[in-house]
Amino acid sequence: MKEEDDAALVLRCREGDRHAFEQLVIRYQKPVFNVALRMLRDRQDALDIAQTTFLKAFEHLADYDPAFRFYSWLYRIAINESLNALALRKPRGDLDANAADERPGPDRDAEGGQALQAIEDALMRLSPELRSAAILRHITQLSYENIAQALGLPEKTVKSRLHSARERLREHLLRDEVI
Amino acid sequence: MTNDERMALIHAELDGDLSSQQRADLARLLLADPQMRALRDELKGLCSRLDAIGQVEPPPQLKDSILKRLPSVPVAPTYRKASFGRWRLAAMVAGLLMAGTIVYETVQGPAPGSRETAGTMAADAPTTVDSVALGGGSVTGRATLYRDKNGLAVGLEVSTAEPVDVLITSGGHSFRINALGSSEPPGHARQTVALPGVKMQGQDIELSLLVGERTLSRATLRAPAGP
Repeated sequence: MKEEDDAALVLRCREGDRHAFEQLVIRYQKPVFNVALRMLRDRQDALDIAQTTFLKAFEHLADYDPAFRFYSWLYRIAINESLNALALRKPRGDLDANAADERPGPDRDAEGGQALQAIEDALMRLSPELRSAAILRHITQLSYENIAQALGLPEKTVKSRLHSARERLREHLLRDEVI
Repeated sequence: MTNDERMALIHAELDGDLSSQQRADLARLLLADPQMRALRDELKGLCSRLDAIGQVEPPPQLKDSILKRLPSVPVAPTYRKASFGRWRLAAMVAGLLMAGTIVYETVQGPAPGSRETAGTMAADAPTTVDSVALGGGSVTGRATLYRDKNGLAVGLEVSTAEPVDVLITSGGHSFRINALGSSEPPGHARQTVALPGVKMQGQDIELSLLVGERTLSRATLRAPAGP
């Protein structure tokens, strides 16, 4: 049902209906922002990436292939933009791993706050390729098929990357005595 | 059962992808192997923690900031999925024309107008603007800058021992090809990417071959100022 809605909205966008695009922004701004935030761990960079993602999607809507799910295509842009931003980022040593997430108040104050911080640190220690697989699976809850579409990879490669990501994360958390 | 097969079973369980036979196999293995059981429990705990990260709300002004920056023209002109299909179509048309010319000349004998025919054929075909060798680490190959009536495109042909990402930047534009060389059989890959928005203005087009955040090599193509 939702896919049909996306397809209909995309069609209306292609016919010049800006309100239809606004609906897509409302629907996907949160996951797109979160993908970028977890990839970059920088709120301002994530905002920039989210904006760029939607602008590029709008500009290249004619290139979107309806055979794929719209959100997979959108995440693909967001991941690519995040990878570009990481590639252009100057080496920041441990800054990425130690940068504070800007999630406000109560969530961070809870008992699980430290554990959450540890797992966010561990995510940032993964290579961007492994991190993107873990984020799309566990943060945006995509299926393997949709992750494969979003990353432009065979499903087999996605599985392999996700398994490696989990095993590396486990090692990091064991080392930090979190699990 | 190999270690990889055991790990695959554990991950399949985490993903809820086990068949009943696999579930029984896994249960048997876990019962017999306390180390494997501990590993499974750790990975299960890890996945619960990952799932618990959840999503934070974006700032409320994000939507408006996106909508404010939308260009007035709603959608760019169609420039379908890179230009692989276009090249293939151009090659097919050129091939058909050439075959037709050969058949015609075989039947009719060489005609004085054949050179003009060739000239007409070339008019819409992609022309090579620049070409550069790629090399670095375990990757070798060539990047070629083409131009046709739709604009510029970069063709990549690489031999690589591991999948590489290619980042192409020019002016304010950037394009990325993920995991070039990951398709099977691995090793040799060929891909063309269109560069919508990049004009012939005497600028450089920078290519970076990346594995993760590691840059294997860089190369530069030159797009001279067009006519």
